[in-house]
Amino acid sequence: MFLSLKGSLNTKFFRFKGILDSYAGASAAYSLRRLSKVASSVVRVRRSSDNFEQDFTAAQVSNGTLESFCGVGDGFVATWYDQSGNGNHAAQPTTTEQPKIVDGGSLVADGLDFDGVNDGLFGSHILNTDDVLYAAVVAKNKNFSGRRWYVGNVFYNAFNDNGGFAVEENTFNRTGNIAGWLDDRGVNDAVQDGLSSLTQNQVHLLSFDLSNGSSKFHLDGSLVNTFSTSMNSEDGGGVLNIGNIPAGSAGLEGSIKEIIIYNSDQSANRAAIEDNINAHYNIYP
Amino acid sequence: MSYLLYPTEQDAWDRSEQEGIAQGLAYHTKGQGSRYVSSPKETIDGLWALDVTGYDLDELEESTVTLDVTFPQPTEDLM
Repeated sequence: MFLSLKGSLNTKFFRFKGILDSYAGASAAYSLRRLSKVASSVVRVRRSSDNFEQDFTAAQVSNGTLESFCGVGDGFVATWYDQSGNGNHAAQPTTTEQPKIVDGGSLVADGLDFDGVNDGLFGSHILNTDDVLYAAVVAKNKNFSGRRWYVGNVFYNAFNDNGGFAVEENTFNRTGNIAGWLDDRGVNDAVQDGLSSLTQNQVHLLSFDLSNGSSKFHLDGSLVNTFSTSMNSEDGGGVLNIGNIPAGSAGLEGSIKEIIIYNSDQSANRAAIEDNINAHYNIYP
Repeated sequence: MSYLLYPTEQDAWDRSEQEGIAQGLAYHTKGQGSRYVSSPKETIDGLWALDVTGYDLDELEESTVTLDVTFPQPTEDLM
């Protein structure tokens, strides 16, 4: 009787603490796992059988509820909810351009599956502070040919008035690069070599933190490169793109499990954030 | 893929939305979520091609569907 009561109390007073609770202040965060205690639905899915849509929590994604909802058909993501609390949800209103999450009644491996042609999710402008950024992306690329967009928020308003960041293969059409930052195009923009460090068809954790004029690019928890750069945030410029660019010519053929972005200095927290991510996904030893 | 060609992008979006209504997409029944079935793309002729594969077409549309559409090569713009 006593043990039963103790178990009940433990359950009653258990409080979930996610990565965004431990490291507050994210600008946008997307995942199929629960990232914060205030997060409820993580994704909105349209099933192929009748186009009906429904929101799902992280638990419902993993416990079979989502698969039951889709029956023997497919499920496509209409909205990937931002778990940061900022309402920067990423959506795709066109059915033929929604990434797949359930294939023939089974949850797709490794997150949201992008077809490499026209799938993509689009949100709002998430940057409002210059020269500080931390972005972590857990993704798998099946096709290393051409441009393949993971995530970014870039804009080109006019010469010397550009900004934002991108994580993509052959960043800004520069062969071999994997990430870029823009500040006054042609003056202070920068790209990160590192594509050669990636393995095709393998899940990686890519991240960079920009602060104090220095950007560090990490791959699977290890530092790849450090160099000087800056970034223009310009509130109102461009929107967040996931899996493709608006023109639709840089589609990722692969999958994305998680994206977490801070428009602040997270250099002191980077290692702990990535330990948390790796502990959940077991990406590298 | 089979396409219908429209003189303006808006005309093509309107047809895509019409099909979305016919298919009962969530935006039109619940006020949020999926709204369009497919997206128009500009052709080299300056027309707007809408992929209507799977659409419920009327007789006039069926008579004007084309498989022969040429799109411009991707530009080298950064974005």
